[in-house]
Amino acid sequence: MRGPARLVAAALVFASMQALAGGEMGGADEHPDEGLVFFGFVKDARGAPIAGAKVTATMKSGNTFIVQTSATGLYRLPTFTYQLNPADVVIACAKEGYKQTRVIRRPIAKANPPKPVETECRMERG
Amino acid sequence: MQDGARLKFSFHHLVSFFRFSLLLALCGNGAAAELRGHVSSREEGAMEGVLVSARPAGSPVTVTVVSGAKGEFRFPAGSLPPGKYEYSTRAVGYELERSASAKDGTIELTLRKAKDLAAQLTNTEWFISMPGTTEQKRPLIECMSCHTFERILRTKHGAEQMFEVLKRMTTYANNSTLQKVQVRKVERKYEEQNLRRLAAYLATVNLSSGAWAYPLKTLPRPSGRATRVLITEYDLPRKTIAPHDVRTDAEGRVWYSNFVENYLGRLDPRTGAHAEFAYPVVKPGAPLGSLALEADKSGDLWLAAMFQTGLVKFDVRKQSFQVFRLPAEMNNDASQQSMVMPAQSQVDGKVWTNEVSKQALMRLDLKSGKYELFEPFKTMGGSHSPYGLVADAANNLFFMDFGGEAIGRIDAGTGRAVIYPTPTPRSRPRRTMMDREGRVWFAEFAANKVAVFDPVKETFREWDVPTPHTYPYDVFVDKNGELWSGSMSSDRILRFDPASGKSVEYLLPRQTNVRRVFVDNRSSPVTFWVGSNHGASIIRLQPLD
Repeated sequence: MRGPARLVAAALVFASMQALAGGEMGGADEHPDEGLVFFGFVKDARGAPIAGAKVTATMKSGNTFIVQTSATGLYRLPTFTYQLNPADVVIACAKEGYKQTRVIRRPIAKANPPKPVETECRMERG
Repeated sequence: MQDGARLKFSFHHLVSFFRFSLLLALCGNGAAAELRGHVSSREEGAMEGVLVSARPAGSPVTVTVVSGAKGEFRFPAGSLPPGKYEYSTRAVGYELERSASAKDGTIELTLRKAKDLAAQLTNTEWFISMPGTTEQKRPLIECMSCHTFERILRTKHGAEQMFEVLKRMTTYANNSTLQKVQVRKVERKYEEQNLRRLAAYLATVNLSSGAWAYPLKTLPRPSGRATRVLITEYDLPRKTIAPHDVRTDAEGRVWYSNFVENYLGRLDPRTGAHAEFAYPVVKPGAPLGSLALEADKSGDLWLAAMFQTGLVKFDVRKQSFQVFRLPAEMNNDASQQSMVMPAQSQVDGKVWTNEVSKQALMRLDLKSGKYELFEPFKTMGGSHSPYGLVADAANNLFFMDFGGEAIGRIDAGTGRAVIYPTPTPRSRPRRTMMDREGRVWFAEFAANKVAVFDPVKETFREWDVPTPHTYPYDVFVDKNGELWSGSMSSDRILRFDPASGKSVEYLLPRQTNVRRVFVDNRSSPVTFWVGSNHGASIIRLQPLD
């Protein structure tokens, strides 16, 4: 993972650790949201970020997760359990006026717990 | 299984019914002329935004108007029966000192500074007053499901005592009120360090040091457009009744689910007649009561039976219940169906619901009585809890992840789920509705926002609600495209026009724990209805513009 991407990932994990979620009293609202993080950027052929792109993550079960990229082309999926095999998640991107050309999964360094999974999606006009 | 409904119509009901009917009958005779008055205080002179309530002696009905810029108020002709009234007011920081009738029949109300400001604060005002970070305060949003913050903040517990109290709270069902506390069969899961952190914080803001070491802050009184409203509150005959979801039928009758008792309630606002229909206890020892109340296309009503488990259908014409029990292999001590969505069941004979204990959804096949399980969050970490449900024209389901930060869609044909995280993290989407264009509107409870999702474009739009720490519970978009919302915290009803961005908040006359909100589109302006979950009443709000 490149330096800036590593920083982004660290920031995402930190943000998720600070975040609040849940529905059970005195607990879930303060649960650290730990788990497997998927994130990445959607870029054009020249490497410029694409904002407002739709990123679809499809699970082995057929269930999908759909998010939009930010102004910097960044997306982040909801947190998954560590039991999920990253290879079972297929990332795709779409935006009107563009077509997807490549999906690049960054090599995942072995670690315990697993590190965030970065997947870049490239598109070109057409 | 077919179960006959048992109609509850006690002597108390009958007394209330006749007394109320008499009042309304008198009212309908045209004897009720317009009643005018003026409200002031030594401190401010004429006071705008004072809620003035009039209650005919012995009546279960209270009518409220709001004073205008010069302190003037006016009960429209026909809104009150003739006779003598008990007056009450709501103006934070003030209390009613005296009321006097002038020779011309107008009423002069004089307010004085309140002796006990703390007793008047809404949960939102406590949130604003208490020192501390949003993260420290946010766990309290779970507490207001059962009681107000005043109860917490008047305690003198230190951190250790408060921790013991919080542990005890985990043993109570979420469908509990102060009038009817219910014990869960299985305690809630909690992490001790989180409860200890919350207890330590609460011990710094309660009366453990002898006094509140912070000023009590209040929200502004209504002004301008927020004063142009007529509110009618119908007291229900027992204090234990906890109306949760409220909806009107084609005849204008108001139906409600009772959160803590196995009754479906009905109020006819024209006559005051009130009836309760009992459905059977299917899980003895489990907390009673239901949460969601929804109608199917034929107008029959469905209840989500909470810890009683399963779904309950009420045939309105036959006045009989049909209970769809969970099979034993799906039923455990924590099983809970809080939601039901039968609105499009005529399409495929299937009704959606949720299973809180499994963070899952279920679908009931009406023909076989069998439930299918859907677990869209099975591979996900964090906290998730499918809550508010709505179905599109093909009976595809949209669900709110109240435990997290997404809404989801389950395809009725394939059973596959698509999850759409909201733009705001940790938004905790709660209740929802679909507008005529098929857009999904919902309340972002923890984010203090309301939002809409466009299923065609797969995009969201979010708006902050005007008052901080409101924590909206639900939304309803009316025939004019205006959005209505309310919460357990602020005692205010939001009316918001997404097209212009303009909003108005109507203050309610009493502390009102608001859950599902409902708009009757048959009138112009529309008529808003809500139950007072802790106050055993049904409230009608009629905007005057």
